[in-house]
Amino acid sequence: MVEYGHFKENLSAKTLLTCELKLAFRPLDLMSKWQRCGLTADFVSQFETIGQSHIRTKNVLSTIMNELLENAVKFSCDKTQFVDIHITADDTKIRIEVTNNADKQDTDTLKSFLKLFFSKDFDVDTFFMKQVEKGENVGYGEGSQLGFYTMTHNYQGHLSARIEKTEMANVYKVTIAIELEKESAHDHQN
Amino acid sequence: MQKALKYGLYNQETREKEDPELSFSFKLPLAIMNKWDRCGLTSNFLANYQSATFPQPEKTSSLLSTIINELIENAIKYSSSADKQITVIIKHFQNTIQIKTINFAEEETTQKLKTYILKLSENSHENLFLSQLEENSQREDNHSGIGLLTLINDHNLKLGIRIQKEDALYEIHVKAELETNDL
Amino acid sequence: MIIKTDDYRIECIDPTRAVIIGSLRLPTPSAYEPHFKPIKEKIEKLRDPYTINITKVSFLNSSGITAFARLIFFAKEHNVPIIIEASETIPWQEKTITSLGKLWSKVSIQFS
Repeated sequence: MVEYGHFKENLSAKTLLTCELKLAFRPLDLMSKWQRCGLTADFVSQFETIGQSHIRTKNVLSTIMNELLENAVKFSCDKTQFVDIHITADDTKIRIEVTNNADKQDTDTLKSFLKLFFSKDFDVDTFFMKQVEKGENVGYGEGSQLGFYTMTHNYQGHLSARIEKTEMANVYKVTIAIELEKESAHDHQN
Repeated sequence: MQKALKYGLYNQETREKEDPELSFSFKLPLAIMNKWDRCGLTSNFLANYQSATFPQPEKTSSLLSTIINELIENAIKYSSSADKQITVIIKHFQNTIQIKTINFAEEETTQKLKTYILKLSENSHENLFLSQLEENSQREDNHSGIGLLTLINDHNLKLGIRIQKEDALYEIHVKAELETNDL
Repeated sequence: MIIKTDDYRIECIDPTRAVIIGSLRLPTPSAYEPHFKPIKEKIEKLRDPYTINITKVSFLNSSGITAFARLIFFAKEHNVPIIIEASETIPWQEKTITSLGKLWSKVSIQFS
């Protein structure tokens, strides 16, 4: 098992959760109707922010949820295997965790990206330029890494990840988590 | 282990062995579902998600949302006050859509549900629907189960309920099926 | 030409101006190609600046950002300055469009 970015199972155990939501879906169903990604992302953000006037939080949450979902769908090696989403929130933070299975090649690409991302000499601007100049999405690399850029750089999401072996050879369980401070999700409002 | 009490669809469980074409499960924490808006939001989302592949998605979604909302509200109504989750599972088989809720209830609410099941099995749905309407007009609260009855009557919905004792609480499964032709 | 789906609309009848409206979340950068093609056709024929109004684009996923960046590189090849009309109140625009502005010196962003 490898972990990146101080991976924690949950939000701090001391705080009371104000919202918890679990979803499971098959990548296949999102691929057959791609709009389901956006639909799910919008739902999650509305569910979390209901009764609040935080338009920014809602928009940012939906953006981040959508990126994580799209990644999970694209890089699930078995498209019929369920992808798990677990969202928890307390008064100050929101945590989104997405788990899917990935093959060795995609997992290796992801690992080298994460290694770079958490290294001292990671330069975010150079990274952005490189990403948009690149070609199609071919692995956990390419387009999806731009998603990581927007989630962490544009919205100050804290990224962490856990990669575990599974019973199957060359299949890995990949968990990506993004933790957002509620303040930063609607920074200009407060 | 005590034997589960079964009603309707749960007495003919052949479908459980079939592979669903689409499966979507979902856990809702009870503590926050009291914000009633979240019920409607969740029902609409699940309905939109499910109906995306149908030829008339809007029409399908509207009916599905009504049914899902009824089932979720029902699950909340029959849930224990403890911080238990409600699970909603949607499966799309070839010609059937199945919606299932799972929740946990205390002895007292479970008894109410049992009485309701008994009424369901003894009466024709239409008679029961009419008598509930009559009974409702004399009651203050809205918790009558009339919603599910309406759906059974109007949309050819098939219903199944299964109650199983789990430690101090009861695990309640409610399952509704409708043919995609009726959508 | 107007490209319209349930989620978004791309209007580029005006030879110097395109208006994009809605939520764009297509699966890959290349999935955006056919939708952005009419914009490219207009840019090709221009010397003057071309304006893209995105003030009503509520969402653009990372594949879309890549596609948008390619549109800017395309304009750069043809030396047609790009004016992006964006909205400060939509978080992705305020954050990400600013990054896109760094791709070429002749991209100007006007926030409303």
